[in-house]
Amino acid sequence: MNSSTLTSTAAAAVLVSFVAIPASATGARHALSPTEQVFVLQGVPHAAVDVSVDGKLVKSNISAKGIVGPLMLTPGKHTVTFAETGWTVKSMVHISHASSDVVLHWPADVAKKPVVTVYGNDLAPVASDKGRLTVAHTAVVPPADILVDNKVLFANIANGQFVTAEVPGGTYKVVVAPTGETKPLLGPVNLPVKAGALTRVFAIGKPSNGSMDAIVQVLPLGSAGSSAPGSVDAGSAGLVATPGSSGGVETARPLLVAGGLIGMAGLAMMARRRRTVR
Amino acid sequence: MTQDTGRHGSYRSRQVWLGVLAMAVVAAAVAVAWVVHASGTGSLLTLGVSTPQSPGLASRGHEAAAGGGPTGGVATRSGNHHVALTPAGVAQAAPSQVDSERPQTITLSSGTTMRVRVSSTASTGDLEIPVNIKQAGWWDGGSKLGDPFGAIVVAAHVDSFTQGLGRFAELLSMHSGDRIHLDSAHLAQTYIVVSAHLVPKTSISSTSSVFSARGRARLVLITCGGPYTRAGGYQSNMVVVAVPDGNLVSQ
Repeated sequence: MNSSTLTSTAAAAVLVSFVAIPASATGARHALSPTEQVFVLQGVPHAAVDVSVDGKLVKSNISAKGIVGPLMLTPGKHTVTFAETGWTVKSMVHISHASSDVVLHWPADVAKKPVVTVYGNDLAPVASDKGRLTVAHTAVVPPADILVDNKVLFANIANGQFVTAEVPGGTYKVVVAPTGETKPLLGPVNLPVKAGALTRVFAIGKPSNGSMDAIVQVLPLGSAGSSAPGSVDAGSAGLVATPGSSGGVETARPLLVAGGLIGMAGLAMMARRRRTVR
Repeated sequence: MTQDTGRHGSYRSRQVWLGVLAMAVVAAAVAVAWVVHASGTGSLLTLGVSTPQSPGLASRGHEAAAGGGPTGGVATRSGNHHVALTPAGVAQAAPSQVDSERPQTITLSSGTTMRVRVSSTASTGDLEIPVNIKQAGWWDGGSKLGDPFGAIVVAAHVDSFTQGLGRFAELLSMHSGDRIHLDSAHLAQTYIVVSAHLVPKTSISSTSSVFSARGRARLVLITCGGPYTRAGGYQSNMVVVAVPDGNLVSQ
């Protein structure tokens, strides 16, 4: 009995475990396992950077415009470390979006070390012929305007800020200029914006050493809204028909009568049903 | 006897503890197996999502996350152990950021205000606008207030057999210079009419510029009009195009 009890207990445990764990696994996995998509962007020109996440080296010698990921990290706090020969930036990053960009970049003013900014990516679906364009300011320049096809589309963006809009898919001529000015800090550059996708543009670098550049990242999006209509039937009675039309109001009257009769019949039926229920 | 019971009891409890231990070991083993399995799945998913810079990169990131803490401590250049941990900045939208919204009411030049509902294109290709002639429908594949480009399309019935003349009958007498106003949850924009034309219904199609996401931000109003036949109903659409008059207002 003794050994057999043990055996049967163990067997029962195995059984229980196998039955119970998969049942609870979905919830547990959702709560505990990495679910958030994180991209690490190297926005510091003329630097080769080692990136570590939570103390583990993820990739070394990442040159400017390099993108690491997607890393799948748990929501919450993580330590992201960027190391160059002259400096190390150790950053506490709070991951709260389904998709985020962790960007190493220079602040607006001259500084000894770059800074880190987390950008949450808006993955909401867009209309089928549109794309979402997000432009982020991560360069050593004062607040800037973004001119698209020679018009200010986004005004007065400061370092660490972004703007976003839904635009038709296509190629845009983009210029970054100091707010209120037209002399480019960056561009004009031809920027393709894909319909059904999120296009993220990070302006990086310093105008003083000619290192202004842009990191462009694209993520697919779902489709919102319906396709373009083939017809719009927005009238039926002919009450506003142009002179010489056939039918129209004359047609409408008998139909109104018919409609009224149908309505009365319906009311009568409802009344009967109510009586039946009672 | 008491001794016996005691011995027996302790033997029993040992047995129970062994059972519990066995259960714990098995449970732990299964849990480990599950985590490994989940990790594998996670890595596969990660690799499938986009193109990491190097293969296996994502799974390394994953391990880092699952392991947590500075375990690996793979040496980076310049001893960074003494570097202060600083919170990363969280990107903010520029004050000029506009979050676009669908229109909720439209006010015609006469001052008549109509509720605007969401309208989709049916599988037949017809735009399904509200049956209620006092309401209008905003095509959900078009632009919204605050979008920098494209047509905001709003359509409503000109009339109905059962409800009589619709509010959009006003479109038939609109002309350039008339003003129309849209309100959304947090935005408002006044438009000025630049064109008002009756066009054959057949000239409106899914590819016509009327519905285009391209070009300047504009408001396109559509109803029916023109010649009417008993069999075919209205033969034309009244199409009114209006462009922003003044700035978008936050409210």
